[in-house]
Amino acid sequence: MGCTGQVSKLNQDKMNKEALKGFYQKNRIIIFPILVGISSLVLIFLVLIPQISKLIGNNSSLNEVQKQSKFLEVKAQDLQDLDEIQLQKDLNLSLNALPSSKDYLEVIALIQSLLPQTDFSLQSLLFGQADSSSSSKSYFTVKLELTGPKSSVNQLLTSIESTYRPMRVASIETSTPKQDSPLTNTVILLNVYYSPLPTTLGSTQQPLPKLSDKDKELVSTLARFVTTTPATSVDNTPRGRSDPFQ
Amino acid sequence: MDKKGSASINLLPISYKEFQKRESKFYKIQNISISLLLFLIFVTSITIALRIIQAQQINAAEGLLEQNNQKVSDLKPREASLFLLKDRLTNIDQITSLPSKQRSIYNLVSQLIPANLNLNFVSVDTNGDMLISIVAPNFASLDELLIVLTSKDKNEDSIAAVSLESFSRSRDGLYRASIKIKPR
Repeated sequence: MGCTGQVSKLNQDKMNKEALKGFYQKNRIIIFPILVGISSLVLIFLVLIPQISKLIGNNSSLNEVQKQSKFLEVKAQDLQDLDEIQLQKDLNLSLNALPSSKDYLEVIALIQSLLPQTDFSLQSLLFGQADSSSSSKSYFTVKLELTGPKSSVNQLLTSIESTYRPMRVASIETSTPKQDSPLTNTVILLNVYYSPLPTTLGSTQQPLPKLSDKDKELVSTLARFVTTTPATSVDNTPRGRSDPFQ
Repeated sequence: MDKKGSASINLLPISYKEFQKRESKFYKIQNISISLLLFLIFVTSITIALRIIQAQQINAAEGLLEQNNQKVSDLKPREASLFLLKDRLTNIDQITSLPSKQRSIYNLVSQLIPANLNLNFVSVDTNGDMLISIVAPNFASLDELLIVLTSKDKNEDSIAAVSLESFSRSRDGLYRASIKIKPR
């Protein structure tokens, strides 16, 4: 019985195959293009379109990466070409001219060095309030009480505003004690500028700042002050005895 | 009868002729379909090949980018110095590009005052307003000063207003005046 069952199943399979083959042979003119069309659509929508869109998308990101890389290469080259010693020298000059914090002693020394050129003598010096409303430029005031020749007030004001340290005259008061006296009592209120250090010193992606001709000229002006101004020293040695009970 | 005049006799059954026609039509469709499929496979292969090349290029570019990034990072102290230098120079330039209003008006007025006038008191306040107190030997020199101060040609168009605050003549014959000068 089992053997005849198997034979009949085989016969049925064979018949089905034959029927399928016959059906295909009869309708292959329709079935074949449909199968090819489906395969083509699958290929187009599942492979070709995603790949082409990725190709286009990645092309723009590749261009971006290449552009960024080129930019960094040029930046690195520019940085390597910089004369580090000269850069440090220029930076020190600029930091000396515009320090990051109030430097009262330096200002006293500078004013004292300016006065002999104009024959003025300093009667008193008073440090006043500071203005730090601007994040990049802050200043503190210095009130100077001076005595000197009337004719030199202009020169004094010019030399104060032309020195390497940015200072601006905020107010002036001159009075002559005696009518024909060549001397005048002068009170000058100065704004002495300083600038806190920037919180960020350039990111990698940021372009390198270029020093313009004007900047270079300014640096050479600052350097000229250093070479022409006699070194002024302020006595910073600690005063008094270290042990008051000795 | 054909063109040459020879006769041809087709002995095949009509059904076979139809079968042959169908077969040739099928082969035509089959050829077109296979060609289309092959073409699509070809385009897909090229696209995939391009994608592989592009991926390699992206990897190489990213490697180079990382390398250049590292180069710039190594030179960071130098960049910071340059950035700081530029910041200082820009700020110094902004502060010092123009003389203060106070100095300008003081220098201008002191140049305009005639030599025979005596300046007793000068004050320039934080707004740049100037007050001068003068002693003149005669009215003409005081008049000359007022003309000069109000003349656009002489005052370089830097004075907006001149007002006589006080004026008197003392017993010794000297004229005393207080003049307020407002800069432009």
